[in-house]
Amino acid sequence: MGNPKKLFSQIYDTYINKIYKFVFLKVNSQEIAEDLTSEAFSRTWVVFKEKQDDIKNVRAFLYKTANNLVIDHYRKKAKINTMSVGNHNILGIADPKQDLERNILIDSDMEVVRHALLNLKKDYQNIVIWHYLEDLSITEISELLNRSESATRVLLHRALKALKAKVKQV
Amino acid sequence: MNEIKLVKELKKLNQIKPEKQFVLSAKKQILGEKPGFGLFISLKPVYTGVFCLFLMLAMFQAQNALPGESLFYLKKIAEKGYIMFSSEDKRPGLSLILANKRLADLSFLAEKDQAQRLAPAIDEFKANVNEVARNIEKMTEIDESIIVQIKEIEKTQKEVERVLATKIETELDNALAGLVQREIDYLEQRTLNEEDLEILEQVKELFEKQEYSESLIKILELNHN
Repeated sequence: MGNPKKLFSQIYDTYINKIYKFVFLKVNSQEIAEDLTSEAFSRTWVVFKEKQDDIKNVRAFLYKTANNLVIDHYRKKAKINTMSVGNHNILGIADPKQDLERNILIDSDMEVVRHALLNLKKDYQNIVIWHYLEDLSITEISELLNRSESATRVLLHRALKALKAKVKQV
Repeated sequence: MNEIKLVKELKKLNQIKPEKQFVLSAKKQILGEKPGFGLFISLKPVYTGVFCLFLMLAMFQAQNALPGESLFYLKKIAEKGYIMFSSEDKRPGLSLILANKRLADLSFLAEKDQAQRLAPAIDEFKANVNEVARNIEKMTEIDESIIVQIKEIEKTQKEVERVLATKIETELDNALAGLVQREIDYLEQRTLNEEDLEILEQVKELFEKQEYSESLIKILELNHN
């Protein structure tokens, strides 16, 4: 078995861009995406260095950890929103880094698709990102989702249909 | 937006990348790696200051260095570093600017008839243009400023070839051919009106004649319609 630090360093280099993109497309903020991506890798490293053999598929583990962190983030955000009703100034502060990202993505059609994707159901977001951006096969996605291949195909079809509908609305 | 276009736009989202600074600092934080400034920490501040001043002076001097001169390597490292730390979508444009600079160096040396320094200048120009070709292959979007730079290279290269009476072979044409072919394939899948179809035919004719930059101008015109 190799040096875990060296191995994890290679894993980090391989997946950092993918996990960041996955998170950014869901949270739409550079700052939050950086925090959650960093946390996903930290948590994976903690498990990896202790029980390397427990992680059968590092990619799946990273995506699942990142996805759970995004879900937690939205839960916390919803809680803050409920507690702060009427305090629009606090919650309405624009994220300057988010504006920066917007400026980078100057292509209008791409922006439309990005916003449509952001408003999609979480399951649909995941499958669209994995299949069309990360080029994962149906088999690989079905393993990530723990579903049958045919169920994954149906989910992908529905997700694309929903995305098309969202694009029309934007 | 049809399905093909939707998928194409989705693929463009691959441009989203974390900042290099974040990638490096997060890795160091997670794996507990020490920052790589050991040399500076161990030196006394006064020596560090002198070293930095010396480096700044050398960099300033290197700005005017030409291929074949010792300070040129310093200039090259600075330029490469600048491209390396720029975002991927900006790299084709930046590498084209550098290729044009190398061509200007070559043109200057050719005019001054400095034969012994021509060989390194030609090598540098070829290396830069081949870098441009590699970046063009990764391009997802045609940009007007890039076409202007390509045309500038083509024009100056012809002039230099005329002065030197030598043909300079590069990989630029192959990369441009690939880019134009990719755009033609995409446009053929789109529903185009009569005017656009006519432009597409002109693009194909220019492509057949291997006039790639002219083909790209037409494609840009078509994309703007």
